[in-house]
Amino acid sequence: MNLKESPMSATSETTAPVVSVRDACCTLGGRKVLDNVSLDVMRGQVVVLIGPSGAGKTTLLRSLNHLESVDSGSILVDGMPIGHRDLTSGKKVGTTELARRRSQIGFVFQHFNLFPHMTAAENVWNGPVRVLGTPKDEARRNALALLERVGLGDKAESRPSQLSGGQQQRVAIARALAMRPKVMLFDEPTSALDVEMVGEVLEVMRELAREHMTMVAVTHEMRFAREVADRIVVMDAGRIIEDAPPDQLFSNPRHERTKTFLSTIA
Amino acid sequence: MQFDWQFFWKALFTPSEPFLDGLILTIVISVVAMVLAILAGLVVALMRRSRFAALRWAAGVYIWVIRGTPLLVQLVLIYTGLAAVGLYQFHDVSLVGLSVKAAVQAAILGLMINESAYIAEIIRAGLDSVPKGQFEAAAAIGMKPGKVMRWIIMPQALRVMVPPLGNSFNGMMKTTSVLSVIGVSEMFLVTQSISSYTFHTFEIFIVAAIYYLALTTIWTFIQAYIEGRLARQLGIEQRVPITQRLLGARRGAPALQPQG
Repeated sequence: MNLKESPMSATSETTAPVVSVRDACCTLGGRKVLDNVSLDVMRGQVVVLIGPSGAGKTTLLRSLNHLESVDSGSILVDGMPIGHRDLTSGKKVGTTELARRRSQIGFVFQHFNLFPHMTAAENVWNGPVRVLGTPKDEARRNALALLERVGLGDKAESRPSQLSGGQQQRVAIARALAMRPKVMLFDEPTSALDVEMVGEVLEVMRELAREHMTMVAVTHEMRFAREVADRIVVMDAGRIIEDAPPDQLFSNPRHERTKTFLSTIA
Repeated sequence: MQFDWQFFWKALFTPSEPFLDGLILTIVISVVAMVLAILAGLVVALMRRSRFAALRWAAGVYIWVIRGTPLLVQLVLIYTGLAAVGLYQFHDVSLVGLSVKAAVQAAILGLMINESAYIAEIIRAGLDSVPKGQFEAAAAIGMKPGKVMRWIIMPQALRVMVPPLGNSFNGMMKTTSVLSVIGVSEMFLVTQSISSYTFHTFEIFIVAAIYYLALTTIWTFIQAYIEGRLARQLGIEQRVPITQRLLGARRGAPALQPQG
């Protein structure tokens, strides 16, 4: 797998965060899922969100893409508030502008959510053609190159129903990359996979990290987190309780809850 | 039994011109009313899913009223009723060189309205059948709601919608026979008039039945073709034998679901 000539690999390290969450609160079904969460992700950083189920990891990740909307606080992606028109007014963003902002954020779902009526290649070039207005030939060429890079060059004409879970998830990653996103969000990308397929998806993610793609991932793959993450963010009951580099976190967790959580998954 | 075989064969294989005109009118009205009903049904279904409560409510009342009253009553209200209270009177119009009778316009309008309420529910069920994750995946790519519908949701919903829509059309072709009450000279009315001046009631109505059966049978084949194409698009091998479509299933076939 050669991801080196990646057109979307981020360039220089800058100081402005790509993702900036400030005091985000979110209540779903009467339960406080996000409780004053603040988080900055710098360009090229890989941040892994961990924590017990119900901690709010997925909600936080989904709110970065406005798949979930927060009740208060602000969420900026590349300096733009995702759900609101601008920084100051409380006005909701229009559907066109929201779509434009979302197009710069790659999202990979736990259950892949590939489009079943399209081939793998169509899944990948569909976005650039319909959203960015890329000419079909060009988009198709890019799509084939991307599929090649995730190791699925020979599956371009297959339908999702003909692919294994691991293959589907790699197509889904290619689909997100085709939009040349500024940040990639992964929502438990390997949780729905059979064990033997986890590795191939993590390998693709590793390659992306090596190219300095900015990434936020919710995952239970601790080895991956330890190897790839710049920071590990531990959530519990809607709060961020710890935010540290993997070495520090695994060898010397400060929070009691972190210790308990790490011991349950070890 | 006095069955006039000679009359029967002649009516069946060399139908008179009025009969053929009636047959054609039956087909034309069915097709036009169905196409319009699908468009109207789509509008009602989308209103039903609107963010605005007033639209949802209006669509709900429409579905309730139209499905809760007989087509016959609706037709008479539209054609005769509106004229009687001086609200609207249909007139013959000329459309691209074709004269469209007042009653035919009322018939198409009535069938469209009646069918659209049922079709709205078919479309709603079709849209509901597409998993939420598909909406989210499309939105996450940056598609606007209209494009999400057009490129992602509709193609998938169609597979669920086409079988009941096809059955609606099948029903519609047979329902055109009630248009005789407002004087539309479709196949039923023509058959009735032939019967009244030849007294060969049994023979001519058997002929009409055979023609209706031919229409619905031909449509069944067309529908099978469309469904097969849509299933293949989703990579599903789905075979409903044509005998089962026409003669009914012995017992329910297991439902096939697309994977992934």
